[in-house]
Amino acid sequence: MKINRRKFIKFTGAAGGGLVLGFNWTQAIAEPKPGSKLEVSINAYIKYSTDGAITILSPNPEIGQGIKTSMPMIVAEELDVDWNKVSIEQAPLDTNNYTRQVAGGSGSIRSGWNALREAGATVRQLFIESAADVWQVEPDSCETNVGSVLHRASGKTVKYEELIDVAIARKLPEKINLKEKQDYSLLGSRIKNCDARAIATGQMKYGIDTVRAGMKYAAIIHPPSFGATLKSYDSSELQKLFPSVTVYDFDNNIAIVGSSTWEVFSAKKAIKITWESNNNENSDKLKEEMVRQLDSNKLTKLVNKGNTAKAFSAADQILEAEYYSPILPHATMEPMNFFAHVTDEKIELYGPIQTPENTRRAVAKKLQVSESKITIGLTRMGGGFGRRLKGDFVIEAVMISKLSGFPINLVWTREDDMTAGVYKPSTLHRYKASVKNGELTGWEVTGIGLVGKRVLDKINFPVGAISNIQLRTGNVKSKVTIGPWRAPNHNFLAFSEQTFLDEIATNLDKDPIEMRLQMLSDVKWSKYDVKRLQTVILKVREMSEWENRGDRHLGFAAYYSYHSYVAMVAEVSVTDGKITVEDYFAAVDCGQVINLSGAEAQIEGAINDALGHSLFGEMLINNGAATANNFHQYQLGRINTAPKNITISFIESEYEPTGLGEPGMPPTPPALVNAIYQATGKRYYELPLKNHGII
Amino acid sequence: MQIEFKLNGQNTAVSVEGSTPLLWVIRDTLGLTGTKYGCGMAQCGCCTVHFNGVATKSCVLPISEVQGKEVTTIEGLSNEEKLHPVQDAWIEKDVAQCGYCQAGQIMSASHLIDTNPSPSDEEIEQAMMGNICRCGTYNRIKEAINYAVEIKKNQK
Repeated sequence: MKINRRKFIKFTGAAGGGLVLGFNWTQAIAEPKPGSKLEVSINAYIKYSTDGAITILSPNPEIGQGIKTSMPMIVAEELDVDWNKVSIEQAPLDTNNYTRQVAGGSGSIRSGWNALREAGATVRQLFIESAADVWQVEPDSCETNVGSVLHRASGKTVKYEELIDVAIARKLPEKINLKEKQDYSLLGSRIKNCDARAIATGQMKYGIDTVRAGMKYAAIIHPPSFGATLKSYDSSELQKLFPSVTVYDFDNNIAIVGSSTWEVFSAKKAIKITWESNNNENSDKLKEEMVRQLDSNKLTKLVNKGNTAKAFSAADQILEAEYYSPILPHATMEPMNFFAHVTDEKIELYGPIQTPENTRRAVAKKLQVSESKITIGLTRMGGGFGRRLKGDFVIEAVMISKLSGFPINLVWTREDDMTAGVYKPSTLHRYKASVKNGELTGWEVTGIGLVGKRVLDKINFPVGAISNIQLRTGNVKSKVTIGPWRAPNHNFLAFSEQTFLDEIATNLDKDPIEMRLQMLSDVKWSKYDVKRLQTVILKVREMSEWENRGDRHLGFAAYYSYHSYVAMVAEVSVTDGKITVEDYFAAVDCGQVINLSGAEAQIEGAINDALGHSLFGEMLINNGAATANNFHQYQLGRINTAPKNITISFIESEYEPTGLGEPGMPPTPPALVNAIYQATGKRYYELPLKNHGII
Repeated sequence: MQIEFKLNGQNTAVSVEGSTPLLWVIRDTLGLTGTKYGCGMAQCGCCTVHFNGVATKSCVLPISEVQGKEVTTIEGLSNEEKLHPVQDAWIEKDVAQCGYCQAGQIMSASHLIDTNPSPSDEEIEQAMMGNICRCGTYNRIKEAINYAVEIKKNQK
């Protein structure tokens, strides 16, 4: 393929010698249109050192989904090198140094997959052309073999590192050849997390571990209920007990700065504060309001195909059900924290954030300074699950550093994290389906979300599979801070939809997998790939020995999200009315698997994460405040709630790689709840399951 | 108050308020950040260390009680040349996702296999119940503990 050279920058004179190719990690730019202007932010590089060591610098923050390992694997595959010689660095967000203007380009963006492949292949081709030049042969007569260039006819070989001087002097290639799938040696194999050793030996640094010369520690006190305002405070007792700490207030928060984390955590308790709140929201009232919304005229129609009213009036049978999922906090194991050092000249920020660019913009706006003054260094994150998309705690760190004049590391307590967080909205879904002659003829869903309306999906199954379909959404106002939470929207939509379909199958005396396959075979138009969905379903049926299940209690769910297809079967047992999760089977099509170990880990983790939340997860609101403030009141899944076995199979796929951090989440709860029905004859419409006395 | 104790085999002296939890002395006073803060109330296990050889939550243990005792943190569990079998197993089985809770998991698991050469599945669950992992690495944790048991047997 032809390649736009201008999307890469070859740096010369790099420290320690070697070849350095800069590129943009996520953007691959289409062929330029003459005369147009385009900006390429160089935010990643491949460095090939004269001793054969390869460094890949990635700008992506690692939150545990394995991209710090998997994305460089894509570069290394196309570069054709020994993975053991590759090391991975994470770079700070400092695009100023590497941004350049280039002429041309329509700015269309393809996926990071292509950008990474092209970067690796460009360096490989550069070495091929360099060797060909040295040998005075045609580049096409050469190939590469794990870090060397080979001239096929003569059998001559040369290591990449011996070509560095020649390569530095050459122009970048105009054409590159991407590898074919059958030639992959690295992609799809099991590669260990590049930080595995540092983590296992306690050397890995997270944001909370940041220590700098002259640094102080900061703690924060947020309003005790959502929307409360700070009236006044008295820190005289605090100043007596902790004479060296300082206290600041800003934006309805109080900050305490001192010389150790424990000192500032302790000092928080010694301050008397008067808050003003007129927030009397509570979970029951919010839920009642959601129920009222179901029948209101304020709903937004998302999908309206065919004529559901007609289908319902002609039906042999109408089935209805309502499903509720609660508010959930993120509860990342590492509480929110950030280092900030604000001076007149510059603002240095360092810590765990999933959205460094937006955060830098927000900080610039908050302080009314130019973005160019701000640098953000990224640490590995102790979990994200959507929480670290929002940079509220970074703004706080910045304000505290500015007010105190110190470099500070702001550390939230677990209680801060759980009660002043961002939450998954509670959701209420009402389903209504009509059956005529044993077939589903009509489908109506009304989805109500707390604050957000994103509780349905307008392209997903069963859209396309049922001819009369209507989807409507609404929301209920609340002061609770709502935001994305692992697999937003889909996470608990799948629970309602997939359990309702299971109930319909029971009602029609059909096998749920058989019914699903039949529904899919009737799909006339869809934005999901019917074949791929069918394939994962067939695979999980085979893996779980669904058809020979005997007296095993199995539940099925299949769901498409984030461009990946996942079908699951859960197996449960019952002892004295209590449920034990025995096995989970998952068949997954996420396109090309990059790192098999990491890919399996994402599905295993999603199953355990979703299971824990299905069993226990619930944040109740009372008097406008979150009621659980630590893990004694808010239970997560523990080792005894993990399934005894998790068996995962990835479909060999010709498609480009798609998401994996989230797609394992949505089908897990419904597979469980459907299995529980098989075991107990009871269906559950509300989560968490602990409230039903079966855990 | 002045506290003297053995940290990772070294005699250590600190002068801090006696009620300060061991966790914060290790992290802030002594600069060993491998031991993590997760909840501050012995619920999540991120802060697990070995206290006189027993897996213990350091976030609720006042430093005054550490006087004259022995503490091992993740940094002192092994040396660069030879890791603890549990650490080797954790790397081999690629357990960590975000990794934040794993130092605590490893301290609980290493205490288990150091005191019980062949733990049953139930004993593993019992020993690891106090350590939460939101990434959900529990199945690999079990696998890695069983693998560490094998490594340890072969070392003998």
